[in-house]
Amino acid sequence: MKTMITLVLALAALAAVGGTARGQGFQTDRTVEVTPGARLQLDSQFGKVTVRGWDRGAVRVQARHTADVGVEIDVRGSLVQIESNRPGKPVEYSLTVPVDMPLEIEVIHGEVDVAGVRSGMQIQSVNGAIMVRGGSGTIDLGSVQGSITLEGADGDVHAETVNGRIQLRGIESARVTAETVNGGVSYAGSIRSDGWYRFSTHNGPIDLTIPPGAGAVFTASTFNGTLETAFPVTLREAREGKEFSFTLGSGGARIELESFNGTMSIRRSGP
Amino acid sequence: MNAHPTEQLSEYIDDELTPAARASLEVHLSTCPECTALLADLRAVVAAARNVGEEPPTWDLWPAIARRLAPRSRAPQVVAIASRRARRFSFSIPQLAAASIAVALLSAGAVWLAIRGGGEPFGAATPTGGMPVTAVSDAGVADQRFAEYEAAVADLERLVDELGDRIDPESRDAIDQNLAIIDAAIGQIRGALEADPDDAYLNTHLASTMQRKIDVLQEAARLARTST
Repeated sequence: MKTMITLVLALAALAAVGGTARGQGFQTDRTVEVTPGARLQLDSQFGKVTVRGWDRGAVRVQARHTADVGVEIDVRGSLVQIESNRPGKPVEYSLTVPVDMPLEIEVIHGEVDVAGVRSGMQIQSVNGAIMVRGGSGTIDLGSVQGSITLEGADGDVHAETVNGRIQLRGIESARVTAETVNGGVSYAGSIRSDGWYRFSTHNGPIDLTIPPGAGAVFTASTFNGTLETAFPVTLREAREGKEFSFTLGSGGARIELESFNGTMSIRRSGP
Repeated sequence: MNAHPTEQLSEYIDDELTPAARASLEVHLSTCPECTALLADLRAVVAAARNVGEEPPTWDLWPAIARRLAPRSRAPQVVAIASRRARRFSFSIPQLAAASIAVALLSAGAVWLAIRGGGEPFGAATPTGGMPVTAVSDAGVADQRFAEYEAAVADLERLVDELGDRIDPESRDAIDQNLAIIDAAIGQIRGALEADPDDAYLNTHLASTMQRKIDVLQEAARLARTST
């Protein structure tokens, strides 16, 4: 019964958002000027959040919601805060922000989709996937139930979820951590000589694609999994079949791989 | 020098090694990812401990948690921040894992602050809990610490259960589902540790997975407080 009630509520929420979206477009459509360096905070309970960057010094807030909901946009100095006056009601946001505007987004139920922004960001979701294309500086992405995808970003990256996979592609970073409990982790990006890269999962594979010529000291730990490399390495086993280390090239970067139950694979990018 | 001179790491952090010993250790660190990782973890634990306020805990649960974490052989003891800074931190690897959990429980204390409605807004507060530094720096038994942790977490779980009706059903289902996933993982790690209790990876993996559980419980508490 509980599941049924939950399902009905979820469908009702989706119908509310979807219906207004199809029938009436955006109920809220406002643009506010912002000062250079301003940051954005958004709290949302139900509904997808889409963020895109533009070259204007302004934030455009478009939102789909029912008539009894209002979206409040509060500009105080260098902070722009956006939230609904009825947090329990679904609101689907579509924001357009300056490309260099730092983002702080918290969503309880709903996906977060960010693209075209060259700034740091902190995005948290309880139940929903996070997809980011772009980003620079400190990028902190966290979910409880949802996958995390980050593409084409540079800066310090931290991605963490409980139930979902983490995919990091086209990353230029000297510090990356990606941790999940139930899901795979994949990384394709730079390996800097002064970098520290840590990838961890309990259930799931780890796939690491590194540039040709990258130098790093690897440590890999597992319990039921295995380590596979697409190139020959000389392994040092701290514990037979469970903990390995090896040095690639001249070393330099530090790379840690941990999968309790999964396969850890390392390959080089390129032909 | 030992193969892994972990016993020197705390002195290294405290800048108490002789120049020769320091230089020797740094040479080792430059080629040993295991010790480098351990040093980083130890620094994180020490930094977290130092960031804790001096005031003793004021919320009701903390005495129970502190009792659970404190060594059975002596009364719970809170070390003032000044003496903490002068204190030498000496950890074995399992103790380090236990230390990570103790730090995690500081965050758990914030759950209570949030729910009781007192103190700073949730997420913005620096927990003012009495960091059980004595518990982690004393030579306690790591697996006992894990057991104590579980009991403390059970207290928090009961609290979240009590507040369940303040959380929307979807969120509650997501929280419950993910706590179950974490519990299953913890069960597997514990099973592995029974066969190999000194395995560094398993100990640290258990600590980090327990930390994740606290994170989720914190999220549940935040939802309970903010739900309309």
